[in-house]
Amino acid sequence: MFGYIKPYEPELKVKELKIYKSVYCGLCKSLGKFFGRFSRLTLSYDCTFLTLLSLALKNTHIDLKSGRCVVNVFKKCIFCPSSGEEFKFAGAVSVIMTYYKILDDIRDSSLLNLSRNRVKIKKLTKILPNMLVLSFNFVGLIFKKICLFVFLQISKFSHRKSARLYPNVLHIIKNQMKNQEIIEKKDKVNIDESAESTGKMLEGIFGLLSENKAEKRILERFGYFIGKWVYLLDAVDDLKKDLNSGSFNPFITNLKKEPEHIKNYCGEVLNQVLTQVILAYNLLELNNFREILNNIITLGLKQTQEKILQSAFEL
Amino acid sequence: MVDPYKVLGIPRNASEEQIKIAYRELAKKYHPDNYDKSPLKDLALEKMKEVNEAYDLIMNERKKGKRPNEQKWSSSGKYYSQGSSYPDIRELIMHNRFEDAEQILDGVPPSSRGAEWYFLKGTILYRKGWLEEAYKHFESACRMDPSNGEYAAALNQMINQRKGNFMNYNNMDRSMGYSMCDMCASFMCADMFCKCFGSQC
Repeated sequence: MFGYIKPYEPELKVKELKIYKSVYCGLCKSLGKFFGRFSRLTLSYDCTFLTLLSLALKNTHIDLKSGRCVVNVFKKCIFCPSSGEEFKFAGAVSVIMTYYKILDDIRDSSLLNLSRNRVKIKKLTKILPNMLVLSFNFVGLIFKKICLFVFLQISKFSHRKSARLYPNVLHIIKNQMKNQEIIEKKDKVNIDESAESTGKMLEGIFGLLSENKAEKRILERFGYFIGKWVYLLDAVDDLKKDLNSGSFNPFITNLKKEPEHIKNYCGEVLNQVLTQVILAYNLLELNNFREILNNIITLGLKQTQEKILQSAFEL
Repeated sequence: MVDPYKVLGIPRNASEEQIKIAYRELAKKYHPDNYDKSPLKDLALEKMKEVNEAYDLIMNERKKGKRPNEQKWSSSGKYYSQGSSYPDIRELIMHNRFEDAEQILDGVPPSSRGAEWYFLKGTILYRKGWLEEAYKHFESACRMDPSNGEYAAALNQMINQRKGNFMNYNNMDRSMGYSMCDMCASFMCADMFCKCFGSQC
């Protein structure tokens, strides 16, 4: 995923930060344990959040252990011993999502997109720079494609394993990725439509966290808006890049002239979704980690949003 | 029976002031108006009821039977069904049959879609989670009939959400908005006023 769902650290207590980090490290270790060492590369804040949420709902007691970080062997880390179902589930979600993200990226970096760029390049008068830019793009694209294929091959093993363990997760993600593809091919897409499949994806995944009917409903609504928010924020983040490359972006069709205006508009759209995230979250009955999750939902998300809005519209 | 102190999230020896503060916080959080048009409204109402009962229980226990004079929050529960041109659709929406309602609404030819049509469609979109589209529909409804309070309320709620005027953020804005300079400046101002009015501080 994208690493947008993280706490606002200055407002966390030291002990809360310690727990957060230990869940993060615990997830990393359980990824390695259950899905092979390369799956550790898919570790993200988003899936740490998923782990924390499911731990909080189930009231599982966690104990901390001291160990060593795999990436940096000299660094000591405190971690949750990775035995719980919650870690396994979040790990599988992380692995499957990354796999489909790579597939999606491969599709995006097709030669077709390069030809779309050419429309812009034609406007340049000189031929030589034209050729240079084009060949540069071409080489870059080939390189990117090779890298993506390598990643795909690496992640295949862990993907297969998690798909076997959690066929329902695979089903949800696969379906919604397909829907996304269909939506992006349409001519006229509104903002809600474009974010729908990411929303539905997380709606499904969050819904799996509970058997209780009422709780499931809250989690689904919560997940739906979290998914939408992540999708739209990512769209804002990519706005500049997509404008240049001609890739799909839901905000491009809604552009007005002044950048300040667009920034406000994006902020409004995001705030609206975030409000719904908080409303659904407030109804959840949490047994554990309430301070950390409160921090993430009420401070962290907003903080990330502001930061990205700021950087996306810098000249 | 759930422990009322646990519901309000306060210790057993909490002072009356603490109880009231905790109650007000929770009432604000679960206020049914926040969940107007949301599919989770019933769950929010349940929570609100739980909080109200817990508060009553604690206060009654402490005052030995005296009714609390604190005014309780409740849903404003406004339904404007009279004078509606789509009473059947409002009925469907009230019973959470959103898909049926949407189907009938979409069947109305574009030429005869009035302000209420846009409002009702907006309501359905909101519940579906299509907030941006819902916002546009509420806007249209208000443009076509600016005098209608129901449409204006729906639009205003969304405008507030878009501005990010939402309870939990207030704390952060405040803590980030004040820099050291601001504080010094306000002290200086305060000091100046003190001197102005001739006091000896």
